[in-house]
Amino acid sequence: MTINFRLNGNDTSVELAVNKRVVDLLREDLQLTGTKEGCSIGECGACTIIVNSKAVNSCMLLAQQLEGCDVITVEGLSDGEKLHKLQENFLKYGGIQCGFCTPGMLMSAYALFLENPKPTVDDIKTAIEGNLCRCTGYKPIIEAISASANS
Amino acid sequence: MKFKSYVYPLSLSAASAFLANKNELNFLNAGGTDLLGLLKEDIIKADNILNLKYLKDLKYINQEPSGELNIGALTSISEIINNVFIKKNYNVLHQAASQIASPQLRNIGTVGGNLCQRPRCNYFRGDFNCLRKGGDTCFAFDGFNKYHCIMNGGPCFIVNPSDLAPALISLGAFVSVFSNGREKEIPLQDFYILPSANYLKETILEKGDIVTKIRIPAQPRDLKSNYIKIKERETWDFALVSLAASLVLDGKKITKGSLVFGGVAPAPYFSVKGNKDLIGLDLKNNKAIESFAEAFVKDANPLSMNGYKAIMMKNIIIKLFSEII
Repeated sequence: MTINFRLNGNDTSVELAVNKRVVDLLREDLQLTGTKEGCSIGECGACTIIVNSKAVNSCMLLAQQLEGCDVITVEGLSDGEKLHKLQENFLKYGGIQCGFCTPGMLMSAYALFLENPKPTVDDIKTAIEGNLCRCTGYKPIIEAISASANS
Repeated sequence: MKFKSYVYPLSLSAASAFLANKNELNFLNAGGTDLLGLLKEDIIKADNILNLKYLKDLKYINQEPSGELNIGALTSISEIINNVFIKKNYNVLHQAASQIASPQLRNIGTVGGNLCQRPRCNYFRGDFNCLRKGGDTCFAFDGFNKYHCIMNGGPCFIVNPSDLAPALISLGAFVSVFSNGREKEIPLQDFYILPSANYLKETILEKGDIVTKIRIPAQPRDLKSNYIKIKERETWDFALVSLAASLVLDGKKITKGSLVFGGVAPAPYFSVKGNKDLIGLDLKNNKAIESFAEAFVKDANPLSMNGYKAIMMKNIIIKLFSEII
């Protein structure tokens, strides 16, 4: 079965098995391994991507559901070698330790900015409610997102 | 997770006919957040999956001149949260939607799906051939039953996991179901069935039926409503006990109202007598509130590990009343 969608700004057409999940389509078929798979049950948020301007768990969607959608993955954040301000601030504020949650955190924060360019700290906390980090204690992540909102 | 095909029916009739096929097990994929878990864990086996995304007339929130509110079944949970009219006038629904799962799942999950989600019982979800999966034992009865029901249980002891259902029932909502070629509307409270009537399913839905719409009748202008959800962790959790309340007050006295609990029974729980006793209750009178709450949990019949839920039920009533005035 073939599906057609926009991926990081490019029209994409993929032939795939009917029961493939989005996270597998990205990582296995399209070699976009920035998106991570953690829990596989929609709890950890490591697999977060953006579909039609909304953050979603790519482990909880069948690839078929992407038909006609506009998709952004963590690979779509930077402009070539130039990092997105969120990525720069995650580095600057130490929002990354092991790094496994980082792509998901970035995408949840990016989705927040699409909806609300000037979020409060509470808005940020709500936006990353579905993203687990077991290293940082969240504080530097929230600081990095706050700093990006104010720049 | 195996199935033969993934199809996009272009009409409700086509979808319904496909689902009704007696020789195949076909399932609807709305958001799919529950469906995918059920398929991956082999709790259900599917021949084909149907996606309704091209039926645009199932995705809307319409405010009618009469004051009624109609919500299409494919409306996402996030769309409920972001709707300004709902936020202003139906706090109970806004609060309930805001406390479902995580932002990511609220963006995917739909209203119809939330109302039809299967139970979270660890035995039902796990590798156990329990009563609800066609076996002959409810393992929760003698097993780990901390999260199970204390009201209306037996022979299976699940709780209904929906946050929207108690909120909507407290508002007197109706659900429309497309069935055998036509749409029928029933009170949402009659949509759910208890294990004593049928322990193999949670709703009245038959093969081929599709939930299409929720209708909330016009509410009194001075409606005060709220939803309180007690969970083990602050975010992304199902309710241990939750309470939806839609009340009308004259000063501090309740003149009209409905309390509906989540997390305590196999279906959203309300008490006809309890809702009757609400009328005239003075929210300044702590003693009266205490005995009202006491009476509400009188019918509780806890299992070995969930007696705490009866205490929570009582305390959540008191908490809600103290916050709503």
